Amino acid sequence: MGNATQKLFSSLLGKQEMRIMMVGLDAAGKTTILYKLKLGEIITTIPTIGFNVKTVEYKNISFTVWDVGGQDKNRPLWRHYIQNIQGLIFVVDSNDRERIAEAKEELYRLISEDELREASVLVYANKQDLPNAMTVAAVTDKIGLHSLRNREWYIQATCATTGDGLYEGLDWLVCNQIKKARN
Amino acid sequence: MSSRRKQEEKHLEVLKGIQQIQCNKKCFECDQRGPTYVDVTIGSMVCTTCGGILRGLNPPHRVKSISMATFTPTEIAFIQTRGNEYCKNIYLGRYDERSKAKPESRNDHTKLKFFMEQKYEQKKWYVSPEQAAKPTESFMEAANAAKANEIKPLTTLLGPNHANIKVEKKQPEKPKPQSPKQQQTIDSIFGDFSGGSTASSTTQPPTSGFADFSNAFTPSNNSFDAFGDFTSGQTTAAPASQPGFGTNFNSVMTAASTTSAPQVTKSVDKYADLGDLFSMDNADPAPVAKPDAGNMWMQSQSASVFGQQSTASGSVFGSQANAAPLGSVFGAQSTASTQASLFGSSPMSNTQSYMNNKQPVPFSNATQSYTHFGTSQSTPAYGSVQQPNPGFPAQQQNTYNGTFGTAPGASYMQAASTYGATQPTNNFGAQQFSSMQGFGGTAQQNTFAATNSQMTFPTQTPASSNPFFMQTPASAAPSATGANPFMAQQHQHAPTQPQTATNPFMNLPPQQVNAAPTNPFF
Repeated sequence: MGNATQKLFSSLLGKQEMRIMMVGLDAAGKTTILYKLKLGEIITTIPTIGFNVKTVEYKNISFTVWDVGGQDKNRPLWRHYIQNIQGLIFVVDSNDRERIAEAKEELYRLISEDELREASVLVYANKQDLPNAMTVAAVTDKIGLHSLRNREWYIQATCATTGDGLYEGLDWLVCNQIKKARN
Repeated sequence: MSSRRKQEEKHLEVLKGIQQIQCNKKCFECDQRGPTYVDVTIGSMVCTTCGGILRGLNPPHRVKSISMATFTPTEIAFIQTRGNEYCKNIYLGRYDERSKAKPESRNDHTKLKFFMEQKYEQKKWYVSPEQAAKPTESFMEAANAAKANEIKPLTTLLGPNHANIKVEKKQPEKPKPQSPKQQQTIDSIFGDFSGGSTASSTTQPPTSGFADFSNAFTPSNNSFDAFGDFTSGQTTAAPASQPGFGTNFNSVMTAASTTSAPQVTKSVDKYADLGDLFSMDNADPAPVAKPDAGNMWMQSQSASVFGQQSTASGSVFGSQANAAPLGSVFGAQSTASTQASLFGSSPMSNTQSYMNNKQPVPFSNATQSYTHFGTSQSTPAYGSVQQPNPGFPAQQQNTYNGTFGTAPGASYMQAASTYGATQPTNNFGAQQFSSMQGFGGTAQQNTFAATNSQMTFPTQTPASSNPFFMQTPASAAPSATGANPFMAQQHQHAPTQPQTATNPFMNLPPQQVNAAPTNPFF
């Protein structure tokens, strides 16, 4: 599929850029994911104050990923990053059962913003490597993705430390973007 | 909304207040000044970097920025009860500062992370909060509790194949006027001492008492003022935070060591066995008989190889040094475990006991001498003990030369009996420290008892293996009769103590040396 997509993509659009914002509660793994995508390695991150932004090349697409700090006083700032965003990655700590409801609340608050009505929502159910992690289905259920209307969403199980699932999620974003472009 | 903001502001105020506490001014992990994050999992203050590492542990710690996060009232209350000091007592409760496990550079994140993994994932230095959170309670109590724990796992220490251990717990028939006192919970460590001395004064012959105490000590130093409670004979607890107690205590001890304490009595003191733990001051000519202590220690020590014993006590003290704010007062406590190490071979476990005892050990002489003693023990022959050690206080050395050199078995037992036999009940300092003697004496007795049952003294040549490394004290100590082997030994050897001029025990009146009837082991 990847090959076909790439072919189609390059034939239709040429080199593409995509602006992505990555948000989620603090300590969900956003910065780790960003640097895993960018550098291919795991770095010891510190809690993000403000944001990190990196450009990641994948399948001839240049992803500009905004990784915005997730501590609660950072969250009201999320909405300032959402202009011209084509994709939203919402990172959930699958191991954090206590705060999954909080995550849901933040997600819904964010996607109710008018500027994000067009954006596709990719959910990373991160930290799947931890023994007590919730499954993708459980996370889907807990954050009520099924109740999302008029929204393209996809949930991907990921493990940032191994990189599992990260690119699969990006693949979905790309596909979705192409679909949108076609329409 | 405004009420929420108000609450947030209030929380911020509280947090800033917590930050002002001295120990919270540095990152709990790397000592970076001005931590800006709170580890709400354990309630410590950390810097941004360490906060990041803590998030990556398994299970991850929840780290919140003081300025970038809002806290729930629960979290605030939790942090208020914790803080870096508390966390140190728990997560670094058994940490030895000298082990160098803590990375020196805070820039080496790999090492920092490894350190934190050991600290939180493996809980390498973890002490349960119940054990650690007794800063206001009696140090003695903690020690007693710990000692109880110590005794429990003897079988596990010895392994499944050890011989049956029978240790007769002989309790001399002495009045125990303070026995109701043992039931009391004593809040202050001073309360313990005062209680103990009062109690013992009631059991004493009239020749001793607080008057003696004052006579003995007032002229020698002013520190006696600190123990005003004792002169009055009251059992009121002195303030635990009394400044300068450590030095006073020390000087009193010194005074005790220079004063002969002729009282030959015994005291059934609840805390005597604790005092045993501190037994280091061999220069103190005022020995003690602590029946409880003796028997307790016999029980534990005869049953365990000394190395194991030292392990237990070492870890016990490691945590207690933290738990008790007066840990410095018991500078000797670390030496106590040094002594334990004489008999064993696990110096690492011993060092744990001092790890948080940053106070200088007041009894450096005693420490040295025992260290020397220990090294000489580790050499296979007695003769080596007699080698002059230049770096060693002459008096101490002579003591051991006398005991070891002239009559290895007999004099050693003599020393043990001297240590263990008599009790100066005339004062607090002497009581406390002479009770420390009891430990050494008991331990030594056990050692010899074990040895004796295997080989007799006359046949024990210097070339033979070190008796302290005979690994069968447990099986050997209880003879078939079940009688305490120490009794006979002490009787036999007590009169043969060499009366060397340099022997500090010479200071003692003869009747004290031969205070066999009051020896708990008899």
